[in-house]
Amino acid sequence: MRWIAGIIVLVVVSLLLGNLFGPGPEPDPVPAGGFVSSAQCEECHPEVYAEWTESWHSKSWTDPDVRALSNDFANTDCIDCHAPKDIFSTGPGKRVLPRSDRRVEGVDCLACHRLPESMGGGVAGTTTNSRAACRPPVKTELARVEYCGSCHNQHNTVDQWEASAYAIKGEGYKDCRDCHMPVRADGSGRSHHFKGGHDMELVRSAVTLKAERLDPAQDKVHVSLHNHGAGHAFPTDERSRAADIFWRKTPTDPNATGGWTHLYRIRDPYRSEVDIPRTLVDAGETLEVDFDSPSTGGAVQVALFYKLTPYYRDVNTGEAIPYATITEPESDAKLVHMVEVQP
Amino acid sequence: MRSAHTLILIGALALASCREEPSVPPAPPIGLDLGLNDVLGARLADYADADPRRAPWPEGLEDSDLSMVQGLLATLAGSNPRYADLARQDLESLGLSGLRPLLQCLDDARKDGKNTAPTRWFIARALGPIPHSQAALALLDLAKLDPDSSVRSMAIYQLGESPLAPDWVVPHLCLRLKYEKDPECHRLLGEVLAKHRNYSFLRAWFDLTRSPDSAISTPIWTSLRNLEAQTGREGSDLAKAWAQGEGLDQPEPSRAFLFEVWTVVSKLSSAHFQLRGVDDARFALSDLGPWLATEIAPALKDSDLYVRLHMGQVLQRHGPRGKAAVPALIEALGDPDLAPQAATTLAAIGERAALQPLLTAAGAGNALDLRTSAVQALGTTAWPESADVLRTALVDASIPGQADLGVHARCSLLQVSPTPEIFDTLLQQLEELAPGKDAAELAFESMLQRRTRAIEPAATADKDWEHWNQMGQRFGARPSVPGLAKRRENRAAWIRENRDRLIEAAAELAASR
Repeated sequence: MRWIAGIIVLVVVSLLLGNLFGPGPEPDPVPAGGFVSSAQCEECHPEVYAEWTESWHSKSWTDPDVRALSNDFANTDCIDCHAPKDIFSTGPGKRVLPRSDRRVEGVDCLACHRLPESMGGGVAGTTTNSRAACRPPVKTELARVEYCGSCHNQHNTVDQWEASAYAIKGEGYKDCRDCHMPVRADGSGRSHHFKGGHDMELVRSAVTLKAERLDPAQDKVHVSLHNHGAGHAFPTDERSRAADIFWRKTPTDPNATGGWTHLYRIRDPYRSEVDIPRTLVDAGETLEVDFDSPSTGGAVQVALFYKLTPYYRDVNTGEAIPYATITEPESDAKLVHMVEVQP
Repeated sequence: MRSAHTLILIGALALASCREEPSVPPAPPIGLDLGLNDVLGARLADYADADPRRAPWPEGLEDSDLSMVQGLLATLAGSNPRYADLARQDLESLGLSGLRPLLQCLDDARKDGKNTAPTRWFIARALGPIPHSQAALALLDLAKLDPDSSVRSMAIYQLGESPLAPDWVVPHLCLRLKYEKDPECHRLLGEVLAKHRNYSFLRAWFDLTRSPDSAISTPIWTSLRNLEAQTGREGSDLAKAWAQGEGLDQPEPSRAFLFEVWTVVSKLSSAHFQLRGVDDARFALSDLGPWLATEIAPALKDSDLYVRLHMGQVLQRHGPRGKAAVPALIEALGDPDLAPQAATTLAAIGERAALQPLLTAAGAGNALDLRTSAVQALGTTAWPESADVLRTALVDASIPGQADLGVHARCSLLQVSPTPEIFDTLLQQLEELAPGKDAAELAFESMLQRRTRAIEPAATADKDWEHWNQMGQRFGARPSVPGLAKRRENRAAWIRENRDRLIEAAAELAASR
């Protein structure tokens, strides 16, 4: 009987000592006053925060191109995605709503990770960590394509992906995260750089440009542009993006700019633009186009230029210039690929 | 041994009692009873019987022969004017029996790859006098979607001449104001809208009267003079009355119109994904008369957050015309999801009844998004009673994560209680193109604009305002990155140059309230 009493006392004592010198109560996962800024995330997640600050998500409200295209957000429907309310508050896959505060933080940590009070508050993650101060509950929705689609399908990107081979479950399956949030080299989680249309390396990896004379006797050059790397159309994001194929006679100076002739515009019409066709190159598809070039005229270069805004402008006046009249796209577009065709 | 155990236990208990109790997390907030319900669904059900798409077809009515109608249209679209008059008379004498064949011909003409604009034009003309809402719907479709401006013009004109005088086309015609590029279509849109005493088109008309091309400005001037003669009011007076929602004799909307309004509201619900349709719906509703505020105010309590929020945005665009919704908006300040938008909308309407609720909303202890919006709202209204609350908000903005609050508090204080320090911080914000530069630019703009209305003599204020606008002219045909940067640089330099004078002017303006 005595030994039983001894065991009970030992248990009680060890419990009490544990309470004295143990880790103590877990901190409240939500800071006093709640999560009100993504800057609060930096303290514990400096690397992720640094990645995000370098990303275009962090510039969605301040990027000069966006401000210009949205007429400084006078087009108020742009605000919904460029400064969205927390996605969990409206629901993954649902249209987002505009928020009223910290717009300058753009698409920030809280927009994607913060949970509304109705879901318990705090922030969510794709994995949990009981040692983390914010103790994020696991929300697998964060990893789903629909989650990105709340904003990115406003310009049809998710629909384009769903129509592609990448969306078929199996070996070739790839979704948004595979390309735009890859696992870091050190395996410490997924990148929050969200590399996309602003990253020329990624843009270059999406398409292959080829040009050739199918028949040396013919005065035609055949150009093909194959979208083999993007899980959506090239370029995606209607209105905002465009690409143009130009050609010119190979100049004697390899560094020469200008002298180009416009061959083909790749773009999706926007809203009331009823007079232009959709010419995007869907995932896995190939665009083919010919142009006349006498085989006796020497070598020609064919180039693909990419634009983050659809308009070419005069650098001095700012006036829009019709793309078909552009001879020096280098001044207002980024070179993706250039190939040469010998006579 | 027993006593040793007891000692350890007592000691441990004593030590444990010294340790602070673990903090108990606060209980989750009790769900607010906002009295939400399916307002949209109920209204759609109420007015469903008036849906113009379900208008009954007259029993026993026999359709005209399709081939005959096709023949008449072929004659009309042909070039021989000798037979055209006869064919037109025949076509127009068909009345209701010609409706379905005409709609069939319209469908065929649209599918035809050839240029069928003349045929569509004659169909529009023939549909006009037919007293059935299916005819009006077809005309509306042509007015909205036909690629040929002459066909759109005819369809719009016929909607104004329809024997049904369908007021339910008004929101759709208002939306055309957003997309229409043809001046003649704009002129006709205005004439039809004026028949329903909707004057939202006046902005576009005023713009067109300033066209250097007399072929554009002269017909608009003529229509404007006619309108002034009909209403017995100057065009500018009418535009002001429309903006304020006062002194307008508004017709009672038909049940079909109300059904159409709620159908447009439904496009704002969570069931709709694409933002473009949402903005179109907001636009269409924003250009309706002052009666709309009373009609949609109950939707601020719809169970669908999307409906509630977008109704707030629509009323914001109404501005003073939406004053009937002020009590509902003040109540909406208690809805955590809607409150920031409600604050913004109350400021846009500008009724003094909102002062105390906005001061409360801008105070410490409220959610940051509500507080930020209320602080901005108090800058919009520039009521002098706001100064203390704004100064408190500026102090509180030093708390990490609340920088946004500070930006907006400074912008609002420029309107309400400007000091050289506030002025200089905003100027620096604009000069450095720092975050909040757009807010700073808007704050200076707002101050200069209000000054043109408030300060006597106004000559200097007017000149400053004109100069500010000249610097703000778009760089190039469309807004552009260099254009925006250049505009802000120019404006910041001008403010710097006139700093002392403008600080004085801002203080004088605030004192004049």
